[in-house]
Amino acid sequence: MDSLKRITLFRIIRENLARKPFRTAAMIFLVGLLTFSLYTVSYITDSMEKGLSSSVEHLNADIIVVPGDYDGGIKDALLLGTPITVKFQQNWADQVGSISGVKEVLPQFYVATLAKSCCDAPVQLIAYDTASTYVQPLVEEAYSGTLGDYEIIVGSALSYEVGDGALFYGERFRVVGKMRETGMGFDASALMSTKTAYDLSHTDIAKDYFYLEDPENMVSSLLIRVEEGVDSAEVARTIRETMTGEDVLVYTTREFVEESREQVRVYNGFSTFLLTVLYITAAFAIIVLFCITINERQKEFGILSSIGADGTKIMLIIAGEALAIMLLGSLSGVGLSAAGVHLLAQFLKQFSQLPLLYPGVQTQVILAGKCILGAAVSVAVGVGISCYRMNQIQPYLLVKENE
Amino acid sequence: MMTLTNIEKAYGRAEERTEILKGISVTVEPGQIVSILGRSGSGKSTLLNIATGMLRPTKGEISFNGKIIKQKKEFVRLRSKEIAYVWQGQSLLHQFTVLENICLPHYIAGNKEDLTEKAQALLDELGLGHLSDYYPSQISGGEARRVSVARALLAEPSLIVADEPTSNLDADTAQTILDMFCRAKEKGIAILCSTHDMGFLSVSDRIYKMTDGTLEPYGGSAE
Repeated sequence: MDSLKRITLFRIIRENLARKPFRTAAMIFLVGLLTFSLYTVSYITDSMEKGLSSSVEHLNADIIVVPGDYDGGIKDALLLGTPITVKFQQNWADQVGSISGVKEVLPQFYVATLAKSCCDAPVQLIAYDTASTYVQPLVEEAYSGTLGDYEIIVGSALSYEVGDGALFYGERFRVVGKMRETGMGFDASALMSTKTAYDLSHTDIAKDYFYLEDPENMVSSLLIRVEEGVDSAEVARTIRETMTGEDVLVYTTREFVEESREQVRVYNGFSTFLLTVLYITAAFAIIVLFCITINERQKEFGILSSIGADGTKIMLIIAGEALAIMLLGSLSGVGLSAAGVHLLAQFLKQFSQLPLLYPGVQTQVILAGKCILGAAVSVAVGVGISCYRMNQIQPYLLVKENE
Repeated sequence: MMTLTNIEKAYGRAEERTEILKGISVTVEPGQIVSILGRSGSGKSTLLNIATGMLRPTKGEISFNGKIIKQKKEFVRLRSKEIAYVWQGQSLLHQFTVLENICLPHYIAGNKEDLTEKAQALLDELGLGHLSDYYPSQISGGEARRVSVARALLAEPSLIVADEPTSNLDADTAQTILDMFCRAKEKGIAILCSTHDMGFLSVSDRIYKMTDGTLEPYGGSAE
């Protein structure tokens, strides 16, 4: 006859889990739910914070001047990448450049491409003066040369790669650089030179949408850097005074993102509250479920004790089962969340109108580690309480209580 | 071998206190069968549970091979190596087959020797050979009782404590178990059991009767 497979503690643990599939699945589900929720909320909160910090960093400006009528639109274009065309022919750049304390001015011009056959996709085209010394590090990093005619640098969210061709307003552009991910509007934008924007505006298709007569005087926004040691709020005030009567809004970068910052603060507060409530509730549920389950299995542990299993062996069995449930639950929870959180984040981005910058792999691993640790603590408390209570009960009563 | 001295067991406190065992002393030596008679609720099972360390006495002393056993872990060690317990009711683990259940104490004790053939032979002797791959939920209560007996006999412990091992079994099966216990006795294994089985009583070295928590020699068989 065939010999029996040796019964080790590991095998007892495996059989215990396998022979009660519903119980095991329910416990894995609960642990998975806890880690899924913790990971998702933490991931999105982190993305919001990073998105906002990234926006401030990558705007690389101390002050931003935008036309009054397009205030919200330009914010959305810069922070979220919602395409907009702002055609405002005023020569503000010279006016602002002469103000004391202003170091550099970079005029930008925004053109939205169309959801029509003339364009690959609706993206935000941003034209800037390539001759200016005020070139953002992000742009410099993506392409060190000077943008030629119909050459573009694309954002990370666009599907083009360097060397690809792109079609906008029926014209063929060449991709010469690709920016890294910023979490803000740049990700869905393409940068070109002011001259290309002017030339484009005179083509057959584009002229119906944004015909530009004088490229020198076209502007959608001004990004301004102030001299070192100069208070940007003070310079912004001076710009406002100088431009009295012009329909412009002058923001320090901090003010520009303040509304978003306030929103992030609200979301953060809410998510912290949500995380706390979620953790306490789920942890409590896990602890109670473990206690109930182990309590219900008192007879089983009583039988083990009656055949010579000491407290340590019984505890190892319980801890081994808990560890397996915790690992299976938390890894699947974090895994599912990691797989689906981008979709949720995209929805939230639309809903909240906040820039999001997804955490890098290292941050994701740390987040996952924290979530798994959170679940492990709950499971450990549940197991600890159950083992302590069981250890206080005499083996006969363990057997009898369930009979 | 095992001596229980002045064992008392009571539940509850003050006025609600119920005394189950009132100063019971009993000894079982190697190769002896000591049987305890008594009505249901007289305290037989409580005494056997105390003897195996499954239940703590309120008072009294238990010694095994001359050593007084007090600690829980000492009883666990005894149950692992020296004492096998066949209690009333279902005592098999649902997640293992009949054959695995029989071998389980052997492995729990940390032994690596393969006892499959011996376990199967015991099952065959008990008329349960065909059930070796069944799970406890697939066999009857009487069959489960016989599996418990096989489990107790497999490791050839020094002492088998059995709580009504033949109750609710047909006469042939009861006789088979009795024969197996007799063979165990011949090997020097001590047996302490509660029973109403006349066959069992006939092979017992000593018989006691438990009445209201006290133990009296029965029919002049006890020394």
